[in-house]
Amino acid sequence: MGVDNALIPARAAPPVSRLAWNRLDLLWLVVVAALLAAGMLKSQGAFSYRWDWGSVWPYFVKTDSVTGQWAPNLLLQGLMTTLRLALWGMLMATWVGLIAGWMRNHPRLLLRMVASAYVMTVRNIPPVVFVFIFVYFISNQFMPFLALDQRVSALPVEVQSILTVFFGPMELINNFFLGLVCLSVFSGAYVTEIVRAGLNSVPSGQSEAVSSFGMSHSDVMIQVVWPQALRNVMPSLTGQFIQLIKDSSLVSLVSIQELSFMAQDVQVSTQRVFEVFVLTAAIYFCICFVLSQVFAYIERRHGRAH
Amino acid sequence: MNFYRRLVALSLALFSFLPLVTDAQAQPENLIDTIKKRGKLQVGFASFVPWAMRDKQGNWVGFEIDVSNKLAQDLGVRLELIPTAWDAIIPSLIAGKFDVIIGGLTITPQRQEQVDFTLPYSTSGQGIAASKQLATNLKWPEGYNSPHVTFACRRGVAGCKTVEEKWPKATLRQFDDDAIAFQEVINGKAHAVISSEPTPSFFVIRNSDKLFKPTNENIVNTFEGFGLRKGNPAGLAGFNDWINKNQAWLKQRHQYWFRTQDWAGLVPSI
Amino acid sequence: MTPPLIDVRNLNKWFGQHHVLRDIHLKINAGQKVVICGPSGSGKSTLIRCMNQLEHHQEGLIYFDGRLVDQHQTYLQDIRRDMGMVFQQFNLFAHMTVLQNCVVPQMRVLGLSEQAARERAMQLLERVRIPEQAKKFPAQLSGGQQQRVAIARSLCMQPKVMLFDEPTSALDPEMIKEVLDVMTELAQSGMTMLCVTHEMAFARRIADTMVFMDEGCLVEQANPEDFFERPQSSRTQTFLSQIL
Repeated sequence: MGVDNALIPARAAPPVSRLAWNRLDLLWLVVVAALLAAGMLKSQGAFSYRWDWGSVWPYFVKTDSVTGQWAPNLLLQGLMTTLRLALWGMLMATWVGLIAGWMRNHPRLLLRMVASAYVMTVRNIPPVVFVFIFVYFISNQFMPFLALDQRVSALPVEVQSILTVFFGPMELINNFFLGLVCLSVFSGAYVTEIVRAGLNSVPSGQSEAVSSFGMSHSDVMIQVVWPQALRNVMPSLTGQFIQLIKDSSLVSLVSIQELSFMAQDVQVSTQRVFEVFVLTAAIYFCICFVLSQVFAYIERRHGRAH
Repeated sequence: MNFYRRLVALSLALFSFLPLVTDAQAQPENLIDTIKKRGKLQVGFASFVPWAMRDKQGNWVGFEIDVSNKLAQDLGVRLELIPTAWDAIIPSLIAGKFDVIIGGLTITPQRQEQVDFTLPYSTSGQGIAASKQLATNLKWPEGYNSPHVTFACRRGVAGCKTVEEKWPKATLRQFDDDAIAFQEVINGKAHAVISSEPTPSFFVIRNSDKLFKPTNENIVNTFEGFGLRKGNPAGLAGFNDWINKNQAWLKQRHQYWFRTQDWAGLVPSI
Repeated sequence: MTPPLIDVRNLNKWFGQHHVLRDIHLKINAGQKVVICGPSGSGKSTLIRCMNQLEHHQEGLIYFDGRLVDQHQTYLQDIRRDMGMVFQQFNLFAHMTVLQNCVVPQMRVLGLSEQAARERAMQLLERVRIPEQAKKFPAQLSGGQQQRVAIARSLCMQPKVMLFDEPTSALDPEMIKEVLDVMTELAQSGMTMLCVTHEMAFARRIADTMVFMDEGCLVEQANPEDFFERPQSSRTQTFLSQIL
């Protein structure tokens, strides 16, 4: 113990092993491996199924009979449609969710009621039922009015081929758009609730501070409240987007030709049930996994301002 | 106040468009005329082997495809195939997504209530494949009428009704798909599966160690017709006319797809 | 005689049934420094927040620079522009850097170019003695630094009066001094200030007028010497004996 004012100097911390495998971990590993192996053996016996991947793979990528080149086949085309649905669906659902989320918190009662009715209706109906009702009843109110296929066929060919990259074959544009709107309306209800939670998560002091400068209300919202609100709920939002990719398989029920629908056709045509299902599951897994990694990166860069 | 006035104005504007929309929905006088004017025949169907399947190149092939192609050709219009989920095929027709169902739609009284059928353009039978493991000792057909016996079928096909009528005591399990239903029997989880020929025969040939046919006759003979929206007698007459004119051709095509395996190279399922 | 910069007449406010401000009369002239003190729940913060209508009063009149302050007035934003407010919880924009915190209100409200806004912001950050923190985010600063940024941000708007709502109450003791130093320098430069605080030593140094509030009423108003040496009301005396 010294009389002077010198402090004890800081030292480096002792090393911490992140990956500490001890005997208990190894025991767990053995138990889990044994359970998995037992399960697989049992299912082999129960299934008595002959795996035949060779007949399924050509449905993903084929050798074109005319040109002799590699060309995308049904499953790959379905995958492209699913990706397009996912991409545009995310954009549209975000817009729907932002507008409805803004309405949910608005001082005007009418706006709040409309948005609440929308969210409650969608969230309390099973997805399959919602899709059927939307496609067979509601869509007839606006699809003929839009007459997309006629408008598109009137466009020049170059424009059409650009559109095909983003929206799929032009003959199916009605079909694609219907599936897209259905998905966006469905997903938008969940995004609305997430956005609302985000808005509520911004401390009121923030908007008070901004108002006290004399900033207009819209400036308050756009400059200060919304950026913080969305950053705060970024994990939930990106989770909802991943969910949207899986939800896109719902529209196969109403004959939108995305991956699940094509998988069904291929499965009927080849009678190879399990190979097709496993391949389809693997494709969905890859998309969702890659996307979740992308989102994790974005969250790290721009996430909640701590 | 301003806001509410704007809202009312907007709503009025929107509603004024609706009459235009509903007018467009009004049923035309003659479906055939509409098709010819549009220049396109829209056919709804679902994938079923060998009615409609995807070949290795991803094109649609099958009996229904041939029928649709010839029909469009004879009408002088293009053909637009609209593959539809089987569960949704009649709602889709009623909602106007296509003109006619040409998809192995068996004529049944229940369906008659929702759609109009043309004269039959093909006949099929329903057949049974049974599990060697479970059903070898069952007497045909009485032994199958017991609560201990499980039938499998693809949901929504006429075969399910047949099982309910002929074997009321048996348990019926419905599946999304033929192949899954057959797999249940192959796995020894169900005693028998009912399906439209030639699927049972094909499966028995491929899985002769697990499946057998309790009888070589068709359980029921079914008739298939084109499905049309109700309220279109002129259209119905037009299609019936075509079917009558093409009976021989239809028979020959049916023979090709259902009784032979000449097309086996197109699709991996054989 | 020039009219007062802030003129509060017969101000009454209720929160529900709770009468939080009762018949408040207060006049503040340009260049005056007013410190409001009192026990918690006395309505001090509510009074100051009514000045720029962060709280709305139900009865009474508030005039700022000759214009009526009222929630329905279309020029309320103009009035707010001329009032700077510093909060107990700093309320810096968490998703922007310190510099952006100062620049964005100038650009959005005053319409300055980014160049001009940046120059003024850096000047004021120097004045509050933290120019080196300009690129950091608020979460990376200490409480005292954040509050100084908040003061700089308000000063960037070149307000006519600065309102302080318990600016040091949320700070650790060792950081209070740095903020009070900034406020003292501000007072000496001639800014009109209306300050709610418990820091009596500071108040004694810089205030022209001391105001004591209790249970929504303005109990006593006097210059610092009279206020601290010869408080008139027994309530004031009790309060002072508790905190001094």
